[in-house]
Amino acid sequence: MIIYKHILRNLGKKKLRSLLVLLSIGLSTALFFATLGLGAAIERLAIAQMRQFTGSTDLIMVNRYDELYVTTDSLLYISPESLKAVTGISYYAGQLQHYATVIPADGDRLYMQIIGGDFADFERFNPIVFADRHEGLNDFSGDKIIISRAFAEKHNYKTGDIMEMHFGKRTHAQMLIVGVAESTGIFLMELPDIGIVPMDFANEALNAGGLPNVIYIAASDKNQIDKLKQDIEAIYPRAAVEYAVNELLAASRANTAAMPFAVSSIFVVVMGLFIVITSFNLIFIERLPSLGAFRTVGCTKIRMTMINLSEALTFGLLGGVFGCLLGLAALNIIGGVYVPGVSGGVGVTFQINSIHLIFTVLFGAALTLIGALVPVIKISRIPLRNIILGDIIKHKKREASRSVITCALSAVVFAMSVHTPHFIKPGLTSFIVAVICMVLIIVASILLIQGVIKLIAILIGRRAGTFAALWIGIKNVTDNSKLLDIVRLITISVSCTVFMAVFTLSVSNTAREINTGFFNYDYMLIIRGARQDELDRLRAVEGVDDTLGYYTVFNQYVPSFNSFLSVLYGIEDEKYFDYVKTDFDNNTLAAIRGLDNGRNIILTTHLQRLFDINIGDEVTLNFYGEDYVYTVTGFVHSPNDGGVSGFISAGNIKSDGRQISFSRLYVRAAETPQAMANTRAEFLGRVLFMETIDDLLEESYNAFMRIFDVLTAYAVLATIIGVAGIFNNTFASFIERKRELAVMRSVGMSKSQLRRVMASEAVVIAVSGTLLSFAAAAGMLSVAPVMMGFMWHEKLIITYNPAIFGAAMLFIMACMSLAAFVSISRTSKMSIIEAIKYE
Amino acid sequence: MANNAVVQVSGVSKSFPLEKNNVRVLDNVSLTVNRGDFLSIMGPSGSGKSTLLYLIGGLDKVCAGQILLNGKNIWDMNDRGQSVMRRREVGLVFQFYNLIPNLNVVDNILMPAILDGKKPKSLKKDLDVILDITGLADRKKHIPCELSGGQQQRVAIARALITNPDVILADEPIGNLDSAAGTQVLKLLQRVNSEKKKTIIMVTHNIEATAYGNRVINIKDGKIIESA
Repeated sequence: MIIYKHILRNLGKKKLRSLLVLLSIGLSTALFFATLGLGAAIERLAIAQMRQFTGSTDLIMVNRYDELYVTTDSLLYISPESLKAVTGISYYAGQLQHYATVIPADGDRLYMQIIGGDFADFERFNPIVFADRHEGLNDFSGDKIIISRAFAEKHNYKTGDIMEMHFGKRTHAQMLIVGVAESTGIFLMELPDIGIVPMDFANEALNAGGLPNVIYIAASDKNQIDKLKQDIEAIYPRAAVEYAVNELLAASRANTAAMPFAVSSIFVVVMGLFIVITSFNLIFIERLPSLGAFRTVGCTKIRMTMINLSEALTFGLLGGVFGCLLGLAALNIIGGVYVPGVSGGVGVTFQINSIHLIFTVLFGAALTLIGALVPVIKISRIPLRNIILGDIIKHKKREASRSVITCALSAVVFAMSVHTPHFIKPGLTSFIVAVICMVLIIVASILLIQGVIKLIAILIGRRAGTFAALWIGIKNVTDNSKLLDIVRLITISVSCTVFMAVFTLSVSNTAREINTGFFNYDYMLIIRGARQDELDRLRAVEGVDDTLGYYTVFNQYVPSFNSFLSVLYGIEDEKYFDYVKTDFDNNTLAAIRGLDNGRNIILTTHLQRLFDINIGDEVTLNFYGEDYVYTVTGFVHSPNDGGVSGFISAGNIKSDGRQISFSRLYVRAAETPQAMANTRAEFLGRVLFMETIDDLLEESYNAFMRIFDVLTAYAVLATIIGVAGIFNNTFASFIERKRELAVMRSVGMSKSQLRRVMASEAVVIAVSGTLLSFAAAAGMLSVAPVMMGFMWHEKLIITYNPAIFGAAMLFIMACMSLAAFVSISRTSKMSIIEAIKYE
Repeated sequence: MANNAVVQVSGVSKSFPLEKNNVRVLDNVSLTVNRGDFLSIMGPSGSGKSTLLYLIGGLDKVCAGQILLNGKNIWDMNDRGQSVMRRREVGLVFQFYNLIPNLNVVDNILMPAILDGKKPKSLKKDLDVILDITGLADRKKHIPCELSGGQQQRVAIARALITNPDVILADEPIGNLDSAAGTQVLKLLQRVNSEKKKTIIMVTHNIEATAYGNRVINIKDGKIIESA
């Protein structure tokens, strides 16, 4: 107990150091926490997006030849009567889904997706969260509507207002707004805006005869969903029965989104571990006299070790709790900055449960225990006699040949790590090798530190006068482990930060470069139920020069890859590649022209590399539960959709994929704004979405860059941990060398000379740290295009911006100036005798 | 002041704060050390003998009285002046050697001269002589941890000699050595005193060690109680 009290009192005395250790553990743990939370949140988000319309049901049934969300004018209804005979159904709910035109008081006609249903059904499987309710909601029937808060705020609507709507037969319906809903559930994402109306109103407007066109089905046994699906498919052969949630797609999205953070976390955790090791080294060395005293009065070595480990555990647990708090803050930032980029603007709530918190605290404890283990073992191995005599630090002369061999091997590892990944075929292997090589580059750079400083020492030589301080400074840095640790920390943190900054800039520049000139149209639009007639009408609009229509299926499952194509395009001919420019040879041109000669598919070159596909290979596509075998006839380079896309003929996507209308229409126009206005007028109420290419590119670019903004934030956090470590080691080196410094003072070193020595040490650390961190960053950057080759389809062109390197250099200088100032101010207060006799 | 006096201590007192009280370690001590003296200061632990030595060496400040080194009051000087004095006029030898662990024998020895702005090449002759006297010629490139205690103490003595100071201040120079190494070190100090005419002030517990000097004083409770 006395020993614990002594330890706690000591921690209280060393407040700043304790805080630095806690900060390091806390930040590392926080990133672990954030990464853990992010992965889970993105998966939940993906599932929430999939469940936007399906709620808690398990299956969704529509008529095969109807589309779920982009519908045609002619609706196909399904009778739910036969479902009554199916066992295993907990309940089912029919809805009428179609589109309406609304005319807000403040502007143009808008297109709105209308969902007609019974209020009780919504309450049962997809409850609406109301921001505001009107008394009319108590009897949800007739000309009533529920809108989203976003829509209400945008158009100045509130409950009780009337909104004019054209829906089916009801051309001038005066809808009473009875509810304003939050952006969850059905209103999670609105493209276009969504309105919920009573079933009787929809039935009358669409003349549906009391039948729904979409049926949501909940299974009574969640383990029997597959069987239930088969049973329903047997009874409804013309219906498409789909799972409400595709778990594979959700997991795939979550993994892809969280992977960059997980990789970044590794660097930060390694740094945190490094700081924990150095901090505990110092804490235990400082406490050695008391530990010696306890040992002399009978405390066993094992007991001392256990006490030291319990102290580390206390730090770890406290750091873990601190990390949870920091992690929550980090998640909020990530939620605000990054998630909207991957969720189409939808916010996400991070559900933190007790297991998550316990896991994080345990991670903090484990990190600290592992970090403390090295110094604890080291301390336990020091003989009691040496502890009592204060004879602890053993300066061992390293053999010159050993140093040379270490440096040479490190240089070889560095060079090999820079070059090896380029010889590996792009794919998961090259990604893993690239990440390993990046870590090796940092390790090699760290091992080169002593050699580089020794080289500087040789160049400077043993000098007198002003240079004496520099020479002593270099010697100190070369031989003092704490000062070397500072160089190591600078190398790790600055190289990672510079790497991330240059990497982000390069990705940004490459993305801009690629997109510039890739899209060869002026605006795109979605017209409800657009077919060839609409395309011809669009071409005839005043100001429109040319048009193109194509079909799409999003998130197309490819059993052959057990993965998804982000987009499967259905194109008429090579004209598509005139609007979305890409180079291809005559063979590919022939393949494009021959897409409709059977089931042929052209994939991207990115997929070709990833899955090692060759021309002639067969690829299975699954549409509405049925497999169709396509033959690969060519490859094209496409920067769209992350390079994960494929092209089949318009005919095949219509027949196999049951796509009836053009998904999107591209327009070329000399006077874009005027042509857009004319288009809107021509297709009054049928334009779902319209955007210029410039706006589209800017949006997608911003969403893309948000990922890298957050990754940069990880690097900045790594730097903060690095800075904490720098100051920790500055204190440590001062304490460790107090006696040495006092000896120098006793043999005639003046205070100003001591200041110069300290300043020289700072300069040597800054120079060597800068050189090695820049070398490491450059090394990692040379590997970055290989790493990105797995995740990104474009060849990353690295942009070495001098401003980033300049800023890093200034940062190092500022840090080391401050560290030198701290050391100098401490030496000025140092008593020579006390330091010599008692340290 | 006698013309031959190198160190003159007049009415020096020194106290250290201990909790709320002050503990007087030296009480009105006066002492003159002449050029060429080999003075041994003896006394029990805590008597103030090491404190007196450090005050002479300018490592600590007196509370009362003054100390003249070659006629100059150390505490009239600024830090730079005191440092220069420690480099040029005083050589310090400690019980635990206090060598710089990462520097080899030559660099440790040259340290005060380098700090004094002297070029290492210009010191080669002096260095060779000192290495010869101290018997370290074959240990030039070794770092302290590769040397025995006696050898380390000889390096400390060599370091104290490199700038050719007038006074060598030795605090328990054989306190951490076995008797053979201790004898070697004492003989070396005696040789330095007799051949190089250096004034030596040595603090010791060992009465046999005083035999190597020519003068002994005893200190008890901060006062000189016996001078011979």
